[in-house]
Amino acid sequence: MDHLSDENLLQKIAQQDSAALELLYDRHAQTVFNLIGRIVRDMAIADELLQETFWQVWQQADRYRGEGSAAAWMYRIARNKSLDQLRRQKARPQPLETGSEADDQAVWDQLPADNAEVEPVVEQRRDSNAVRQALQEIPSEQRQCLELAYFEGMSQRQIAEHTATPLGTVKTRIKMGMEKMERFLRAEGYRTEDFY
Amino acid sequence: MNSELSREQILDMLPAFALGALEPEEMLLVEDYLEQNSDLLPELHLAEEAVAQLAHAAPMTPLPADAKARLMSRVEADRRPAPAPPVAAAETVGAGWLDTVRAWFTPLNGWTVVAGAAAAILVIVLLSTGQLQSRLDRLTDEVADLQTMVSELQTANSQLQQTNQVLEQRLQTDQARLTFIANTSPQQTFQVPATANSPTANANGTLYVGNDNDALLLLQGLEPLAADQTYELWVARAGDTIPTSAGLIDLQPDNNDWFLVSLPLTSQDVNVVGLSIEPAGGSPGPGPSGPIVLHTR
Repeated sequence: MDHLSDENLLQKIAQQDSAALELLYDRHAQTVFNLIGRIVRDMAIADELLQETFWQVWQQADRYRGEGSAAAWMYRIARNKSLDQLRRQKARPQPLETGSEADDQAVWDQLPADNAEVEPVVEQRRDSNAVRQALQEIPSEQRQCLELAYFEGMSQRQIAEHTATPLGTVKTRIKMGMEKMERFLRAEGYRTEDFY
Repeated sequence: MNSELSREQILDMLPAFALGALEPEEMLLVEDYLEQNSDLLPELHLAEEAVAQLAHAAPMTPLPADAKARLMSRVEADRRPAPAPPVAAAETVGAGWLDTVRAWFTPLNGWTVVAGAAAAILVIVLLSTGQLQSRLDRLTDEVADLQTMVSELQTANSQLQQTNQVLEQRLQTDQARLTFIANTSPQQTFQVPATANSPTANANGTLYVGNDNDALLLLQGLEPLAADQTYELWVARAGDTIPTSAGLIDLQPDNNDWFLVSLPLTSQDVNVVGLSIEPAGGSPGPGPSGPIVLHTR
């Protein structure tokens, strides 16, 4: 089953194949948890939302219609749940200890002895590095707008107010930032389907 | 609605649409356009894929160690029971085993097996029901939270509308003042200093009288009055024993101290100007009834 694409795994999950869900979890749980943790910044809530995301994948795999990659579909579920939670939170809790080199190393320390299970984690690290590299190439003002929109759920108007920037400038930065990121990844030899 | 935005404008908005960063009305416009122009869907999916890549930019956070186990435990409890395996062929079973199998399917043990299966099904149903109830409770809480948010937003919206009305009124007043200043050459200017009755020694006023009966009053050093009092402006001709009211002056804490007034006398007739403190609604008499705080000399 390791050779199956994410999309094929979703088809199997729609037929109640739990092994397919387990494999999909192994491939993407780390990315999903990173995403959720970045948005809600609370370990307990992130844990719950991780469960809810994959539970929704299990329950609604038959709703995936193949428009876009399966991973993008899952990440959208995780992001929507996280942003809904963020909007409900009255005050930010203590931040997760995220993004440190120690945490990156902790993930490596969790690698199982069985080499067959190593590859999903290695692939996820490579993809994260590639995207982070792409973001570093983008001017900081454009990158800030993308991160505020993606991780904070802000609208362009809210970003403009938050950064004291004209709305037209924010719109341009988002458009150009996304175009730059996609162009950079293609120039590095990545195709979007390579990610998933 | 489709004609409001061009194809190029929609294409420009697709990255922000995929990010969910448009205003609600913009989202509806784009959705409506895409419904009627499905040839743009590949562009949308491309933008959504690019957005999804941002997930990889989140910093690394160690997964909870038992997260997978908890998930799979829940999944296994939810799975439909696998079909029963076929009964093994009798010829492959030894006589002793066959007797054992036959013994199990005596009427009493058969009912025991059925009862056990029913109990297992009941446990699964109860577990599923419990999970569904838990989920229902969570959704109910989410709905309550959303209803609270809607109510708060409605309140905030109402307050914003009230503030907007106040600001619009102020804007109109300021525009009228600026129009007067821009278009009027003062025919007379009166300096109206403080009197001995003035609450502050540095209180003073200036009255700019235009061609017609319009005038602009500038006040300085005066404080707003209590709710049961008001300032009243007075003008008089030379020789008048009783001045004529030029109206009430509503001085508020956050007002500009400029007031457009309409005088009861023409600019050539105005010779004396004064400001008094009166009861709310103005002086009951033909002239000032309260202390005069500003007066030309």
